[in-house]
Amino acid sequence: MEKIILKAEKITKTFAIGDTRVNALNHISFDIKEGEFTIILGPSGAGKTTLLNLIGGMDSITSGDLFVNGINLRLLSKKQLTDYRRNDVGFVFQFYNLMPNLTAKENVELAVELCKDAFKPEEILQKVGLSERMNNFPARLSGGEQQRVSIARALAKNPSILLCDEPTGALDYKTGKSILRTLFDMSRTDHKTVIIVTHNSALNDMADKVIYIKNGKAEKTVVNSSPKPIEEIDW
Amino acid sequence: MKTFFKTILRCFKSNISRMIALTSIILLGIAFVSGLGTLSYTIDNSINQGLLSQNISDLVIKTDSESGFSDDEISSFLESSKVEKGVSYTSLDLTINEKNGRLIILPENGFTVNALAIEDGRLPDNKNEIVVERSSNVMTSPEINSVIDLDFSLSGYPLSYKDLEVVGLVGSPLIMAKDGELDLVNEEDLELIVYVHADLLSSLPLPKTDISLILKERNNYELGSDKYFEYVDKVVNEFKSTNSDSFHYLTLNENKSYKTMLSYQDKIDVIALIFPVFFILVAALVVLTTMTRLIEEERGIIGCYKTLGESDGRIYFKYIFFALVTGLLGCTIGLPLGLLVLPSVIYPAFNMLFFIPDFVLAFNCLEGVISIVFMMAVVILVTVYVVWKTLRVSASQLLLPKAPKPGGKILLEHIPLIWNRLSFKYKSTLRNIFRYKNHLIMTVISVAGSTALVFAGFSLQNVAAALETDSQFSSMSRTLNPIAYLVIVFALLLAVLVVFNLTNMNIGERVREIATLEVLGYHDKEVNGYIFREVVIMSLMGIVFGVPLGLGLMAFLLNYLDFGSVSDIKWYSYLLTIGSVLLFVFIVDFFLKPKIKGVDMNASLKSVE
Repeated sequence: MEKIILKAEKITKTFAIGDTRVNALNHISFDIKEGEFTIILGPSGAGKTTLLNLIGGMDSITSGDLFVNGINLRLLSKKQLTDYRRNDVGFVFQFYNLMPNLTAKENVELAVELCKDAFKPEEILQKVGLSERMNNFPARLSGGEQQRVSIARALAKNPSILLCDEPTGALDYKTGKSILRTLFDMSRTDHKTVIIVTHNSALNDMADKVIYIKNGKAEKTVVNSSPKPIEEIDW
Repeated sequence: MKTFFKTILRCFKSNISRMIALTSIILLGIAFVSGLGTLSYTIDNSINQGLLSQNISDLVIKTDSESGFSDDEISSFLESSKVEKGVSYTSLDLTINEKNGRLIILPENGFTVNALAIEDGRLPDNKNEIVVERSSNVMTSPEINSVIDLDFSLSGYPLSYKDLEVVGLVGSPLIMAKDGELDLVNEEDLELIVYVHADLLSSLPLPKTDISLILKERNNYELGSDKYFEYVDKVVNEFKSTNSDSFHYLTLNENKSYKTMLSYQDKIDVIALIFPVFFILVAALVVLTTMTRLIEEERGIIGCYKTLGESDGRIYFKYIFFALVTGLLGCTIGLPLGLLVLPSVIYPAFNMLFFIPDFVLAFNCLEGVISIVFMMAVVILVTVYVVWKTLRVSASQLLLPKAPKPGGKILLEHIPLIWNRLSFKYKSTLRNIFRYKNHLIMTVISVAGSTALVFAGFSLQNVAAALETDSQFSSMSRTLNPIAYLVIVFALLLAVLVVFNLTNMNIGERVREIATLEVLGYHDKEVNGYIFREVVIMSLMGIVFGVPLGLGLMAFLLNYLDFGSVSDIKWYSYLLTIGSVLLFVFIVDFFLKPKIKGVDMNASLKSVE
């Protein structure tokens, strides 16, 4: 049996808007095993981003427990949350968010600088297929290439989980597919836990696990015993 | 229309910190210029008012003749059509009690011209009472109520008057400077001036030696002005043509006190011209940069207005309105602040130089108004230009996000010897600094400008201190100190605003990068470092250029002032300048930390705006 790397137990996130309090997330529970390729799916406004913020350690939890690698994120101070982001989470953004004044390699170095057991930037960039473009600045790279740098930057820290926010959202169909393939390979070859937050339900079939979010609640969790290869999926 | 106005109000609201910075810089600039601009006028006016209230003479006529002025001569002057009123009296420069002194016999009706200001006590009632000119830098007068003897000799005869009571300390308007007056015999500092009752020397046939006159038309001219002296000289020439050659005509130009004041006023005028011009140029540059960036950031909004079919005129109106309100707010607070507060703060310092009368609030707002016109012109023109430039771009393009400026290699990278030794952090910082060249140039120039002014302030103080050893400039140099402090304070405030404003804009432009670093797990300290390293390095560049610039400014200024030398500038002024500007850079950074901390990490998830 695989080790459970992430466990959400009745987590609730409440925002105060004026006098009224709104539950963006309401008693959500699920768990994710190490190396699982997981998709968190939901329409806009369902609470996906809020959940992403909580898993990513970017926001505090109102109630419930969220364990990552055995650590309860609800109990962490702001500084501890920063350390958590630094050591345990690799973040892949929808809009890449590369530093424009750093080359591809330097963007990876930016993350490598932060942790002790990080990988060599060159190796990681080779892994995502960018060994030829290492010394280019982001402005010289295509969207797909930029997203690969972003993935390399996230992977280089050797994080426990790879958290991806609509990683194909800003890319064309074909490029999007190849990025997903790269992410999928990471879960298989490197045994990385990959969590993708998206509204694209077509991706369901490629995942080991799909968590459906609706109106701030986890509607259902579906486990795929035999995920489809990404190449066979259309949207 | 109502909603359009709402967007204008929102523009103020969303740019509140920049608006405050803009207003403060304009305020500071206008206050500095208008304050220094009116300084010599206000001081001059206060002193002149005091002198006129004492009926200061325009002319003192003396005679070489042993027998003094004859009655006919006296009445011809006093009754001349040119003369408003006058008084004749006896004034003898001689050694009194072994001091270089002057003995003046009070006229029977008192000094109706050059009235004595009574600082303490009263005027003599009888021949056993005397008054003395008050103590100053060169004069040590006997104490009031003390009883003294007067020993002197007249035409070789020693005279001694015993047991005279000093009943008052007085001040003649002609001896207003604390550096005193010279005697007419040896031209040395007068150490004692005694005013005695006419009865004391009535047994001696003492001649009338002096006639002090107030001229009829003097009120048509400002006392001490060029026009005034032209008028006085004209009258003197008329007197010369009809009177004996043995007369000497002494105008205020020949009065040491008044002359000191005039020359001092000239020096203030130079200082009050050069510093403000420099100051206002730096302030204008910052205003220009800020307005440009503000409007450039609104390109999406301008694009939106265009697609909605708003007229160009209304779009112009929005930003001009913003500029006008921001600018005029700064001007309307800055002008009175400068005109009223600044001179009244500096005026008491003149106490070291002159027996100053009460401060009279009067001002000359020429410089202030010129600086307001200049500043508002800069604000409006830059607004119109940037809006015009933005409006030329098609709406569809305006709505697209402006591509971020691509990164690139910088010159330094071609020098591997240096580049390879730099840590990653500094490589990134240096690339950022050189990525926005305009930004870099503006920052360096503005910091250099304010640093130069700070340095000039410290140097002015050094030069003043060095001059103190030169007695001719002694008091004057001490009076320069408050002006030097003023320049230092204003220049440091300017530096603070410059750095605050530029850092603030920097943070605003880099929100996405900051948010990304936070998500990557950078600690607050590291994120702060990312922004502030840049600010500190750019400020250091500004300081490096600013100090020599300040040195140049001082050389130029001292050349105009015609005193002192840049070699009087002490080594610690360099350190003080660098230290104080850097200190304020760090303080500004400290206060902007919460702004960086306040950046929401969610900004990293949003699309590029």
